[in-house]
Amino acid sequence: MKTRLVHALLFVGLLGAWPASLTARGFSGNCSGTYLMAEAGGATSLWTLEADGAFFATSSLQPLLSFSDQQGSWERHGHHGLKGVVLALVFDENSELLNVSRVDISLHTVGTGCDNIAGSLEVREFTGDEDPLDPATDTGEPIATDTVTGRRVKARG
Amino acid sequence: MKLSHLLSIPVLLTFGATLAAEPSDHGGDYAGTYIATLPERAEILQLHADGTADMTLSDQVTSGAGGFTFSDSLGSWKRTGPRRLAARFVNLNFDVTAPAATYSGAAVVDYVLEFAPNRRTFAASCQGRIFPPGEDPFDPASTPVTTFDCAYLDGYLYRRVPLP
Repeated sequence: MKTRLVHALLFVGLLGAWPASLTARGFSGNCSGTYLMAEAGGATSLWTLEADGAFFATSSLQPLLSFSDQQGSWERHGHHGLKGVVLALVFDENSELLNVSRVDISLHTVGTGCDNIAGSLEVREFTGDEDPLDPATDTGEPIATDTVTGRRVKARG
Repeated sequence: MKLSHLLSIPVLLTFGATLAAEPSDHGGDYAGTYIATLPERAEILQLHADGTADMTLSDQVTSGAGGFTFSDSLGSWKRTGPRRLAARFVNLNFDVTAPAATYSGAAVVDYVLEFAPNRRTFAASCQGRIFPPGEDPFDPASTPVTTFDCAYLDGYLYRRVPLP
């Protein structure tokens, strides 16, 4: 009996010492990575979801519509999903700041693991006294909505 | 001593050795911001402890491979050997010869980073391919419109950006 107890404690101890990332499931830290995104509307973009909750994106539409790279944050939502928000600076034809746009994003994993994701996005622009950190202050409708799919970028070797 | 106890000792020793070895060559040891300064160009590369990475190159706003401008590069990295990392970056290319800059495809650039023993500098080499819009850049059967390498980095090192 005593021997079994020692083995049981040893097993529990080993499990406890195992890196948490190896046992994580769903859209948690182990789904952090860079994704090549295809937007149904035709745009291509790159999204990096960092394990610490930072979110960075760049889009093929930027030169055409004069907006910056997008930065923001994300958090886990449910077992296989996340919610995120990124902000972009939008410029007019004279390269002066026109507004701040906010993109709210909902994503979930597709299949097993984190290599494929899908979801949707909604873009709102905030002008004047409207606060991009408080979506309720936006008096207009979303300027764009789209669905997205993404594939994780993995190093070779 | 019982056989089961004897068998558990090597397991424990192996597990302990793994834990002991990790701090000297763990991802956290490589995380940081690095810069390469060359006579005509400069590049900044960030490695994050979670395996993500990003990169800014001075020629992305003027003209890179294929004559295109391109976005910041985002990607992932992993350790492939002692002080050796593999990284894959992707960036978005634009044809600025058109009246309005037009998206001209995605580039996939695979890097090998060889760190010095002190992990403060590394030598980099790369192989890059640019694929037109609509082509899957991760499909081995896709045909790139442009291929390139980073031979210009020969003889130059990336250096970790020191704290003030």
